Amino acid sequence: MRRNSIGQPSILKKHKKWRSKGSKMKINKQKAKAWMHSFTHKPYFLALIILIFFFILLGFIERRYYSLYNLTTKIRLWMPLLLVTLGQTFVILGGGLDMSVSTLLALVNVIVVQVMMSLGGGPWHQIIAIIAGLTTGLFAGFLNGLLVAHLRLPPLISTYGTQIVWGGLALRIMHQSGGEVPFTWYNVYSATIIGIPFSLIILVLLMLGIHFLKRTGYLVKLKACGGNIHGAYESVLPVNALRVKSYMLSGLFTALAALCIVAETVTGNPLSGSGYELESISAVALGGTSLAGGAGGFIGSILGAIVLKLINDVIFFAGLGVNYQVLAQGLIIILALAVGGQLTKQSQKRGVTMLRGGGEQ
Amino acid sequence: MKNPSIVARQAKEIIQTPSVIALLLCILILFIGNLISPGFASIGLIINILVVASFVGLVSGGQFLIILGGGNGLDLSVGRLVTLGAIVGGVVSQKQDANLIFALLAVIVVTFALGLVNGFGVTFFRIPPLVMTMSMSIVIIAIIRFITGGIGVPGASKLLQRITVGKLFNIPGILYFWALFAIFIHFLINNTTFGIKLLATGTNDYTASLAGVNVPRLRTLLYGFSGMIAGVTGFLYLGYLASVYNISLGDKFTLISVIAVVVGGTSLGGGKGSYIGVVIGAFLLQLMESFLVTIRIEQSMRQMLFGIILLVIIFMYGRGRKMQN
Repeated sequence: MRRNSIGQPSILKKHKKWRSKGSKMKINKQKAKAWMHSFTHKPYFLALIILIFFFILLGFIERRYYSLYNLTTKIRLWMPLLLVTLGQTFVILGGGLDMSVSTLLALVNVIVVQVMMSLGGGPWHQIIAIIAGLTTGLFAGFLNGLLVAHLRLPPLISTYGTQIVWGGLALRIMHQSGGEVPFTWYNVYSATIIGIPFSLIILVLLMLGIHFLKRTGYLVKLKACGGNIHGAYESVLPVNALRVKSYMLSGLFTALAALCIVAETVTGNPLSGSGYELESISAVALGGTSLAGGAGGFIGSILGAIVLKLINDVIFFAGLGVNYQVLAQGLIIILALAVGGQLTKQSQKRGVTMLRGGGEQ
Repeated sequence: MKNPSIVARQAKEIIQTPSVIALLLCILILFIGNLISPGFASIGLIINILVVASFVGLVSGGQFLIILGGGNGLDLSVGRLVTLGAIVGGVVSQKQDANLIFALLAVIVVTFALGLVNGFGVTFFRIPPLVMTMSMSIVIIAIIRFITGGIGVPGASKLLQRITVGKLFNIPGILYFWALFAIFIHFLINNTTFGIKLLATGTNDYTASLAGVNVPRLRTLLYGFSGMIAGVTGFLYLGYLASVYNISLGDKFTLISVIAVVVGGTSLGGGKGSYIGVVIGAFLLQLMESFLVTIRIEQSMRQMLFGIILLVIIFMYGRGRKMQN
């Protein structure tokens, strides 16, 4: 019988009648093996393993970590990084990089608070402030996209330039942290609906939105753009428009993260979000997305961001000092990426032998 | 009859080289600055700006080598390595002139080793340079905190201060170091086999490896050199500052060193560029900052202007190829 490591149903059906019980089990085994193979070769496999390991470890170190209250609080605190990382993933999949997310976060934060305070603070004013914040994010992303895609500036440097500009603008709008938004923001943001935290619902809705984007074919085109931009151009893809859109999505997600921070802190801070650019890039890389662009996914990014946050918790509950927390964070990222690099290297080699007709036994 | 047109074309080519544009911009800023506040373009002030620029220029030297080596190379750990260099130098020398040479050796060994770790991660474990060096900088800040333990670090010894800030013919010592370093790097790139290998690797690493260049070893060494240069710069920076006032004193060098390289006309793709351009780039960046301080505007406005000017400069010659070509 033909060896089948992928488990093609058509062949299985054909031979169903005369197949004995023993061979059926064998095929089931092969199916399971094939499923495991596809699972272990998912880009986010490593992040998932680390995540599970950390969760088990945390369970041993601190039982109360799994109280409902703690978990809902944690998700709320993780939200900004999760959202920024999701936005960053779009840009990196398209072969770019967005260093400006950190100060954009501060800029949107400040704009939302300032607009609301200058209007008065009624319900409609709050909605206008939110819309102003989201528009700022989209527009900032649009400018980044314009610089990178249309003016062909290197992404790292040009988004660093815009990072400086947004930071200056944020400081210009608000010199120091201050101002306030109605406390209902915090109440809404930290509310739970049938036991499910509101922030988690936002995240799930956003993931559904990303799934919808996948259905429209945008993500495939964007990945094509990031994998080989000249090939994408020659396949008549609107390369520039795709990349601009990726930066706009990053801006939008960053604006949403800023709204989360406003709701959490109920105040404006022109220096909030520092360090988010590097942290989000690390999270994306941890999630198995190639920084060269073209390959990766969003589930990985979420797992990567959570792993980054969990490292701190593990070290904290283990009773080690802040210094160890920092050290562990750096070392774990390096180790995880080193192992991940070796895994992809192996799977690449295997892919090559399969192409040459060697095949797996 | 052909001669004039050839001369004109050559002149056009020279004017279009990035480092010449940067130099012209420097002169323009000096000129405008002098109009706004007389004395801006005086020798003394230019030397002051050069002194501040020299540290960026030195750090950019290592960054320049890595970027020249291609493969999306980049070192974002240089800022923290500068801090580490200053702190290790201070701790080992304990303000004694006699210990200075040991301090320098310690700085070189420690930072070279950390740079090599960067290199191993990038070449042998295939970690993207951006993330590898960034994570390394997290590790380095932890090491710094372990060394200092939250307590102050001994400052610079007298001799170290005299070497860096003390003046010979009215020019501070650090500028002599920078000039020597510039000549060394220029010589290294243009007149040695190492330089040829480096440029070949940066242009196309596959063909370079076919031609017999050990690409992974070369790139690993580059990261080591970059770390070492950053560490020694930190050591000299300690002499300039006289004391370590906080443990983030080097952080500002991280991205500005990359920018100085790009403003100096080296493409981030690698394989093309000159250190003279980097020197001009570092000077231009510092000049811009001094200029923005001189025209007396608010700090937030200054920051915005700095970002916008930076984007304009990169727009002028840092652009990628057109899709159609």
